[in-house]
Amino acid sequence: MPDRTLDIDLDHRRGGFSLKGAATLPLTGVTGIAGPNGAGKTSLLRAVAGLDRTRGNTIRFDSETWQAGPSFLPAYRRRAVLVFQDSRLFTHLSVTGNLDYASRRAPPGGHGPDRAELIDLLQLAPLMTHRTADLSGGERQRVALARALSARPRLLLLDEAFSALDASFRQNLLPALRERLAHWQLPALMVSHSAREMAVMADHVLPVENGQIGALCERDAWLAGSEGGSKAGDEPGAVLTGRITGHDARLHLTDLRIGEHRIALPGLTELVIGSEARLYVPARDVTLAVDAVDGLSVQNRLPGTVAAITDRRDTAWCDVELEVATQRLCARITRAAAEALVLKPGDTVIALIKSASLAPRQD
Amino acid sequence: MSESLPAIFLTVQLALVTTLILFVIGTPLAWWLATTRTRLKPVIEAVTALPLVLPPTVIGFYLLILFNPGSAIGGLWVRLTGDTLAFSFSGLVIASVIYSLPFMVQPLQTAFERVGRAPLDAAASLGASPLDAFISVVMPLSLRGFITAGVLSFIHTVGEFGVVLMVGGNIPGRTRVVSIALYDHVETLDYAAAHALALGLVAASLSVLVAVFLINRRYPVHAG
Repeated sequence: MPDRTLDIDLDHRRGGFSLKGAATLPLTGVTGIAGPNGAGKTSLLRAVAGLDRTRGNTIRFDSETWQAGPSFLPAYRRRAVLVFQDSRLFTHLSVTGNLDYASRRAPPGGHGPDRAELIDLLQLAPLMTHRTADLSGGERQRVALARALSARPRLLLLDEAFSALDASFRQNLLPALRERLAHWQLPALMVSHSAREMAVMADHVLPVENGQIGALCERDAWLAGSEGGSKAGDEPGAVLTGRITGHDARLHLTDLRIGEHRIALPGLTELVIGSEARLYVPARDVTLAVDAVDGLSVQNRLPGTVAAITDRRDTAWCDVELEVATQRLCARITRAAAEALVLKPGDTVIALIKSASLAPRQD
Repeated sequence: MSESLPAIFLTVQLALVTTLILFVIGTPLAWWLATTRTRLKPVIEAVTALPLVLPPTVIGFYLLILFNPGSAIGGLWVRLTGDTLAFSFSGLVIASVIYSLPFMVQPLQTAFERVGRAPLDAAASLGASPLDAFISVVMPLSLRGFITAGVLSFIHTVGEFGVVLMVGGNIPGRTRVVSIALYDHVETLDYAAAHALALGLVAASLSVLVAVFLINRRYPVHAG
């Protein structure tokens, strides 16, 4: 456990809704908050932000007590800035006005995002003089994100903050934002329904279900579906981390090196050569072969070893966990196929990943 | 016409002072009504709206009794200022503030309720204290409500009659406002002077209202 933590212990009741449970979250990197609609994810963020003053909640940020018993630090003194799902830009101010609103209230000095950096990251230059009423949903989310960061928060709270962005923009933004958050040493809590967003952004995942906070788990374990979170259990996947080694302008592909192996991907052309990229690979998009096969359109082939095979009860599926260049990959194949190939742990296989499945898309 | 000038000046002065005081009193009251969750809210709302439905003479009657130097409030005022509240400009201002209160509070309350919690939560999260958020977010988003409330309070104060007659009487240069001067002219069958005042009131009120509607159309504030 890292030494700086956010400790929450919620006993929140309002109307028929309740949110209960305790968790200790690391104040480094990004912690994803996953769960079905109405589970209480937004309530959790609002409690941390200080926007819900429910008695019975206890929240400690590092050594500071934000809420405990009758004591309550108001939202405006927490510097835990929430990016709302519906953006909530100030309609009486321009885009620049909205950013100024936040930066004027930010603590002076110190290190943190500066205006030019944010305009560049979120591509706001053409929007700066616009009225907020004239922006599209995706543009609003970009401005809301820039506004939140302009306040120089100590903790960033993201509530479905990328849901309206178009897919190719998101594909490029997420890794860049993740890198910036690490650079600013700004921890974040991120509510998302997208396993892909979790895979790219999160280091840990906190499942929330039916108003109950679950146990914090490692991102990879959550993605593999072995721990908490019904969504990942139904749709497992894995993250491959690689280094970008080059761009092929003619074929619109980016070369990525994963251990000894290299694969080529579309849609990552904005990323800097040499930087690290996280790739979410849904298990259903991985095909297995036991021998080298010729004459296939699938170019991305990664040799690996079967680590475990998990049958999905009452379905035709099983999930095969692979070790590929010391990383984990998950393949969902039919149980019939597993039997036909006589797969067992320790077998050497080749994982075939279709590039199209890694391309940006709405999910 | 020249004999009407003191009445016109007095009226404008009374309406201005009343509106300014109402902004100071009405803004926090309307904000409280728009945001409170107390069960007393309907009661307070009813009390605030009472001047709308009561005959002005009823308000005037009670105020006259309160302003009596023999009463606690009237007596205190005399001791503090050496002047009586009844039949004075100060008394008129107090009466007008009470009489026009709903015309300030209701448009403001509606405007504040339309702004809602959402932008306030955003402002708080960005580090704005409640007062800061009110001034920097709620007030600009409620601009139309402020204009409407100010104009309605002003015009309503100009148009009051019963309360002024009860509390202020008809002292030239001190409590004789336009509406009472007009009544006087009619009483003395001076229809020319009555016409001039009546038409002046209609023209002034109409032009102010047209100006308000123009402003509201030209600078729409997108709330929400």
